[in-house]
Amino acid sequence: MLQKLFKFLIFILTGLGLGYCSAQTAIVYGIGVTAVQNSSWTAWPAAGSPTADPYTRAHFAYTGELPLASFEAIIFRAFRDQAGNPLVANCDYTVEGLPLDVRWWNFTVYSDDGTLIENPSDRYSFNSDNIVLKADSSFKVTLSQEAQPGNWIPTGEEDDDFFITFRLFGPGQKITNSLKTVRLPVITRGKCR
Amino acid sequence: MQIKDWAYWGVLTAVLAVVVHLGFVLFQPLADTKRRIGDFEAFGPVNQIFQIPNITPKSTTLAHASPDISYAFCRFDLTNQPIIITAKIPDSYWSISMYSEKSDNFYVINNVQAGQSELLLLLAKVDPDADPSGEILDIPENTILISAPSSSGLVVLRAAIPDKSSAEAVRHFLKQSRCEPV
Repeated sequence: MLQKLFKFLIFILTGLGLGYCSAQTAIVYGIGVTAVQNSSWTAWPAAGSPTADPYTRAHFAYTGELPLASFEAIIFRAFRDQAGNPLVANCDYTVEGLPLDVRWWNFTVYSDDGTLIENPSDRYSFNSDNIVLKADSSFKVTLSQEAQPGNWIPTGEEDDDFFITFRLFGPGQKITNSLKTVRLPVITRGKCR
Repeated sequence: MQIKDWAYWGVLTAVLAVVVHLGFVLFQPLADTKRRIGDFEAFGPVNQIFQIPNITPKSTTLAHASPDISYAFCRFDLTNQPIIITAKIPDSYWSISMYSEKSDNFYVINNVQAGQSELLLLLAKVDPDADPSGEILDIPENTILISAPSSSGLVVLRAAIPDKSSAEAVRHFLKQSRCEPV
């Protein structure tokens, strides 16, 4: 009798745990069928569409963001660097990107709960108008807890995980047709404290 | 016998996990959309435009919003009458988008597509059973007519803030927009 109860408890807890964790992972980070993976970045091409799949709907319901249809804007998120390590505030990162065929873009760093990371410099983002470009029109952003020259975004004083959202407004067809292969900014980890 | 017993419980566990997984994925949009609409309700009544304050680390409305964008919104209710939206358009990136009560983005136009400094949009819920010889609305000629898939939803205006010094000017543009019953 006791053995049956034990098995039943294991069954309930494991089933609930597996179901919840797998759903949460699929919703937050995206899964292959419904989300597009491009290096560190993930996009949800069906965002905003009436025919969006349940995972895409659940992702944007979870984040609370109202997405525009993908012909108007594409949202890429990065939770990991180029090597696949989670983005953590106590490491430095460089994000290097090439010019993109879009009308306007915006690059924002969020804490893992989706809020901006509080910092005395009041810096949370860059966009295609205010970023300092290199001579070849490419750009480099440094993410670090310590002040850096150039395009720097502070990652706060904690050692929490964070993520980056890269929004492309008015994307050209070359981008919308090749979300998997378009050359997105490369996120490289530097020193960790 | 023992292996068969564990296999039986293993299969049951997998089935429970799949049910919980699917339940969570399907239920999440319903629960969170209600919560999100509640956030917007706090600003004021339907069919009026409200500006969202500058996005800061303490912002609670419009999660994951960008600090480089100024946002305004209008919760629409088309139960009794259509609404008309008058939008002033800046030179930098701007868009007006409309969301059904299921958060589907059923309409969007940006400043380049608009091609002018002011835009008039009439949003109505089209009733397929309505009498086609019914009331004809007196609206300006260049008004864009939009059919909403649901009688309630949200209109969101986004305007790019190219740099901090232009933030107030961008907010001023959005402030001039109107959303009102016809």
